[in-house]
Amino acid sequence: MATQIKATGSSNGRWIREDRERGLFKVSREAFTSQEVFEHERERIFGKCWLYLGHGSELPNANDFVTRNVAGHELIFNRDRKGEFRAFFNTCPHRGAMVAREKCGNALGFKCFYHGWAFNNNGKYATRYPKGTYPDDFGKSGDSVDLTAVPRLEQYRDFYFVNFDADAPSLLEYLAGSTEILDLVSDHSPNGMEIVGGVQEYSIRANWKLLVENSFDGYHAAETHETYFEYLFDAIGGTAEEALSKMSGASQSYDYGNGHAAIEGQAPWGRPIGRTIPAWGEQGEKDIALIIAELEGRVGKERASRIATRDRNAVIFPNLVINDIMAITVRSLYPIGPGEIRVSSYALAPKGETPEYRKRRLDNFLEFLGPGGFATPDDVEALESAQTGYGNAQYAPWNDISRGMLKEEPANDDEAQMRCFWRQWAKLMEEE
Amino acid sequence: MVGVTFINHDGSETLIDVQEGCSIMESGVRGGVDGIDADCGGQGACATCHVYVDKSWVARLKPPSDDEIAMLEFAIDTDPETSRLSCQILCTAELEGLVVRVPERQS
Repeated sequence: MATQIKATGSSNGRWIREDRERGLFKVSREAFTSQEVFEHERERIFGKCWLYLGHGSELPNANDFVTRNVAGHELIFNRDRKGEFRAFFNTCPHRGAMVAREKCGNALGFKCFYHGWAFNNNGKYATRYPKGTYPDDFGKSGDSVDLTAVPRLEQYRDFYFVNFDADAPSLLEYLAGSTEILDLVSDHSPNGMEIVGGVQEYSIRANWKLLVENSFDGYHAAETHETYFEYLFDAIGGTAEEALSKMSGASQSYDYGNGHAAIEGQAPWGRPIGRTIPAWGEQGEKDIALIIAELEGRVGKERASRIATRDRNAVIFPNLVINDIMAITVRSLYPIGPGEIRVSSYALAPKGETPEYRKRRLDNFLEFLGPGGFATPDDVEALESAQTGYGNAQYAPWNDISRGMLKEEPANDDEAQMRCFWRQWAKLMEEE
Repeated sequence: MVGVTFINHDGSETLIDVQEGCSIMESGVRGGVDGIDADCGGQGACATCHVYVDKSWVARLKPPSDDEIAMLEFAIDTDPETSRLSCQILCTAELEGLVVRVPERQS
């Protein structure tokens, strides 16, 4: 029995098998393909966890609104006339049609196009009918016809999250140590941060957890994205050797608790916040020196160095990806079924950034992170290939996520961060 | 921009610049005029943006539509001559100097 793989803590090991002594971690491929698992996830994960809704900068003024889908729910994220942030289910209390059908806008109220029921942007029912049409106390005696608010809406550093479970712990408690990630990306600028207009929306024919893993997988980069790195070394100027020699031993992974985790390191590309490349020339060195001096004055030398020079990829459990690399991408992803993901990606950037640096940031957002860029198509191919490969799960049932498990301090190209995710996933899926 | 004066129930006055083509309700609410609930946001569905138009202005406004007259039935303390729904008064250059009074309550 020397090779027996022990189950994790309280779980029966149906989907996860872990042997800490030998440093082995296996994930069942059924977790990626099963309809039953997907339905379980909707209830136990997407129905219980805090889910990213949007960034405060997307609603700069009173009466602003955006509409978006969060875990299969059409929602309105808006500010009422007093400027309060709110989240409603986008469905008419009357017969269900969506009361806001635009992607974004500014409106004092919402009116359903189907029968004309109207609502204040604080959700209050606002339609009058001749006496006798409805009872005199219609909507006022426990039969509310107001828009239904999402049970919980809370924010940290302007990142707004919803929770469909009214009894969930506070967002702050839920985020645990991962507030560090939101702090690090929020402190890039003394002026605050903003989502740059627009969103990248795409879908992938793979299970959502494949994209979670991929979003903070330092191991795959050189192999999967070889074309990009060839292009990159050309674009940054200098030689690959020079670029690589500047990358220090900064590689780390972070377990933030509650399934949140991140990897940190130093890649060869430029960072508009604080790491120049030869292609930006002498001016680049001067500009970046100024940016770093401001950062150091505001947040201290050590933290400034982390913000300016380190790249990080983080997952806030279950499905918010924050990749703070050349650009910052804020990416949320939702399963439509076991084998399909819908992705929304937003670019977060310092307010007041110069046009030149904003352009560099957005070029990077497009060319590496974007669905039509150099890297994401490679990833989509890999994820869809894995999903197809899971068709053999009956005979080849396990994924291996063991890399670096015996190390005291796993590196950013190990898989410790993925194990954090999977342990939490298994805990929520299997707990009684 | 067209200047419209809202006389609040307490007698104070608020001068609002209304964009041509906008309703005086929309600019009034956005400008922080108290006492115009306008719950439906300008859809003509709720009768909570009731105002009294200054008598000297009544004849100079486009008369209310049948829908507005029907909806005014739901407003309270209406005056047959001067009551209007402010969401149905769209601003044009001719309305420069318009004066309306805000009622004590909308519902």
